[in-house]
Amino acid sequence: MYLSIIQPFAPHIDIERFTMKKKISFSTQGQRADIGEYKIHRMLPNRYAEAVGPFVFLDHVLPTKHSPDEPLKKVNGTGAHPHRGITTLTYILNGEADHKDSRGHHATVHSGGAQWMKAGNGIIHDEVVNVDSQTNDHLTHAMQFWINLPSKNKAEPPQYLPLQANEIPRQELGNRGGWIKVVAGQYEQLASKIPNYSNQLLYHIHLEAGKQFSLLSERELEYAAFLPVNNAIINDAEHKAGEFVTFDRGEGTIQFNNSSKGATDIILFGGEKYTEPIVAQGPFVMNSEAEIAQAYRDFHAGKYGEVSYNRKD
Amino acid sequence: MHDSLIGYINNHSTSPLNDSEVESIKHIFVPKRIRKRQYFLQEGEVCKYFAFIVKGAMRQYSVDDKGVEHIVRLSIENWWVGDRDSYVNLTPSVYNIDAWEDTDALLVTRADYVQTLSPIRAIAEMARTLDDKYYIATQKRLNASISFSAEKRYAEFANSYPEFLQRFPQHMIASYLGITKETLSRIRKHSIKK
Repeated sequence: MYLSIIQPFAPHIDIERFTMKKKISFSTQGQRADIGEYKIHRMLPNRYAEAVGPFVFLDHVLPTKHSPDEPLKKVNGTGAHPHRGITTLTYILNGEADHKDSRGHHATVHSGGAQWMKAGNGIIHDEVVNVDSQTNDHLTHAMQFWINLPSKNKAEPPQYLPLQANEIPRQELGNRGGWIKVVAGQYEQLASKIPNYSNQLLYHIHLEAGKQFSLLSERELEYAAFLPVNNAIINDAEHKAGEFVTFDRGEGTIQFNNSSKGATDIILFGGEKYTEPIVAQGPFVMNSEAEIAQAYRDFHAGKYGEVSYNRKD
Repeated sequence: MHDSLIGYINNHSTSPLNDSEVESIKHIFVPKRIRKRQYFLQEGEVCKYFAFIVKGAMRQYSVDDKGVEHIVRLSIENWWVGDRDSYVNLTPSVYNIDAWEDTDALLVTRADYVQTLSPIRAIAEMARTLDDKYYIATQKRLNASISFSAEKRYAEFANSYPEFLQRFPQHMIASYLGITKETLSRIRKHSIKK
């Protein structure tokens, strides 16, 4: 189905050529799952995978061009909802995300930034994505990940951490290949400020035309790649914009090639396999049905607090 | 009051409820009287309960910017009522639900459903059957609303739910079908002449 091409990128003898490449277990385009006015593709969970490492959920908020006179969305309670048992990570490619939660956190994160929220034992948040007031691109484009928490951390109090673009560690790739940003986890000397509760990674790789990036996978980790903007060649097979692929468990390299005329972006994420039971319902990810029931009960008992919409800060 | 619910569950399952299951259902479903025009759920609230109607009639509707009501669901005895999106995802509802007749209902929380009801075999089977029926009905209604003429939409509705014509006023049925009162009235006159 996919165009398999002979690798034109490494004419010299390259160590990568002697290393096994990981096999791709499946690829999917996701399912339409719009929320309100946002056009969304649900990439994870999907019919092939329940989780990739600790990542249990990925929504792709599709790139959307907005007219300059379109009214801005406000954090006003219409989108408020609870979470428990996970951390949520919103990575903004284009736009400006406003966040308020029931523990009094409030921040605005601009294009290239991320906001991380540990729902822990229960929180209510409200979040909107508008066009970025600091750029002039009239675009919104984002991803939201849910990262499962180990059982003991599900019982801990919530936390929130906003990161602007310049607070996300970034490194240029050699040979003017582009750059890599470490949104979560670690890559070589770069480490994200986002706390890790298990071994996890979330990289944004920006690959210039004709360039290549490869990574030797760790045996204990699960990996997936997602192409939010353009096509890319992943381990020798062409994949289209919007595609999500996961790799098999075997050792090997993950290699991205950009054979197109422009740059491409790749989101590579995953981590250590989550070994406790996963029971997910609505906005909660817990370890048992009884805990899900308790999460609903605690919400209705008001234990997650309330978002204050009056405060101006 | 719980007898009609117990009968309903048994009718939707091949494995009847045993005594202890009947007891837990009686314990979990809380009776509630909702008077005519009283709200069961208002826009902006989170839907805490799903309701099984023992007696009465209810409607679920959204209200647009101009104040016009759009009825998405009409329900009578042996129907379920609630905003499932809000009930499961705990988001503020975009709907209002109120009673059109004095209604006796049995209410259940999501927590009790998840913990106590869903492990019951008869309930799980009923839920699967209802999900199938609801999915099929929703597809039909969607197809009717985007491709049928007003005449055909009304005829299908009258054929599928004849009792609703007796229980709900014409303006509500018109709203449910997405047509004006005047169009509905013209169609009805025309169908009587035939």
